[in-house]
Amino acid sequence: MRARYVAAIIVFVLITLSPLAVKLATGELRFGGGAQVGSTGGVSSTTAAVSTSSGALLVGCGESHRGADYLIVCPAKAYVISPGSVVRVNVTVKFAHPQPCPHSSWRIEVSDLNNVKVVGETSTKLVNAYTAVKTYDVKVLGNGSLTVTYYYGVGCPYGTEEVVKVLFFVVKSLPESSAQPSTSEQQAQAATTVATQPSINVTGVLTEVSTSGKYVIVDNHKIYIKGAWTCGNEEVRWRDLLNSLSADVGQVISVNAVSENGELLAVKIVAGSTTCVRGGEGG
Amino acid sequence: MTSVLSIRRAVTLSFLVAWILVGISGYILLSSPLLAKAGLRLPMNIVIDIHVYSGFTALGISALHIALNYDALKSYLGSTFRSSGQIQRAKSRTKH
Repeated sequence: MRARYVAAIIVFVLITLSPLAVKLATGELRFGGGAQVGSTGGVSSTTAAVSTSSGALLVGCGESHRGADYLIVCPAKAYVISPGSVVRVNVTVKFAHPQPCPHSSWRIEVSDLNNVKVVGETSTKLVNAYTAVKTYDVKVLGNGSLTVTYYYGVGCPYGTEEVVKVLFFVVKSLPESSAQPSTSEQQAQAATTVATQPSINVTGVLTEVSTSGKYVIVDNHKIYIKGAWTCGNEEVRWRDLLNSLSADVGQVISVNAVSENGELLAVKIVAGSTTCVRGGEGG
Repeated sequence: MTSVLSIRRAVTLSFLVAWILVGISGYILLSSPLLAKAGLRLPMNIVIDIHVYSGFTALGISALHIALNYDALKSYLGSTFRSSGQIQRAKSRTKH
């Protein structure tokens, strides 16, 4: 009788712990923690890295994780000196579940080509069961953007799509904070500078203010305005700021913006004699 | 005796809870493609984990459940075999 209970307890422990043991052995132990990412390739935040290629400055990686999988697109922003330059965009999908999966009709596509042209692309390659890669060669015709979308397989319960927008800028010289480094030390320094404060200054005609979309368009740049702001000594919300900017449509304004998730986010706006700063003190 | 009874009660209730979790998570997983089409996104990783762990827990508890009810199980099986044997014998007698 006693032996039977002991045997039953041992069987209970062994069976109950078996999925845990298997997950530990395969290195995918998680409890609702999503995909295991980072073993190969890793996930870069939008402003984590800066690299240069001939005549171009590539900044960070854009990332999307709406569903179970990750879409990582590098660079998130690319600055080129001359129009017509070709920038290589690397797309990586980190799957939460090993491939092949039952919903294998997933695909990677580019869309919303704005002032850019895709001149080359590789086929999608599975690097391992959890990673797929694809590259696009993009010709930058002017300030523009493109959207990379990873569509989950039809019927896949883990999500429908992951979207990352890549921004391209044609500049007279590469941004000051991340000028082309010459030595490895300078390169590291530039990387740190861009990683901590990657900002772009857009000065141009304010052509559109969208309160519903929370953005303004200045010199063909869509810049989002969010959160609390300080204009002079007055604290305002983004909505109030957008309402006041509506009066400046057609005027030249200057916006200092940072890139966040592939989108430009305003941090400082100078319109006429008014300076507004996100969160902090205005002038 | 009381302790055996309380163990029996705990095992049976755990078994029930584990199977309820397996059932609910199973239905969610079964219907998840339809839910995804309808735009409802559930944390499927958590549901899968609940399904797997509660399923194996239920399987483990079943070993305890069998051990606790071994005599009854033996009796059921014995009576089943006995009754099926009786039927066979009755059938063969009818033929003759």
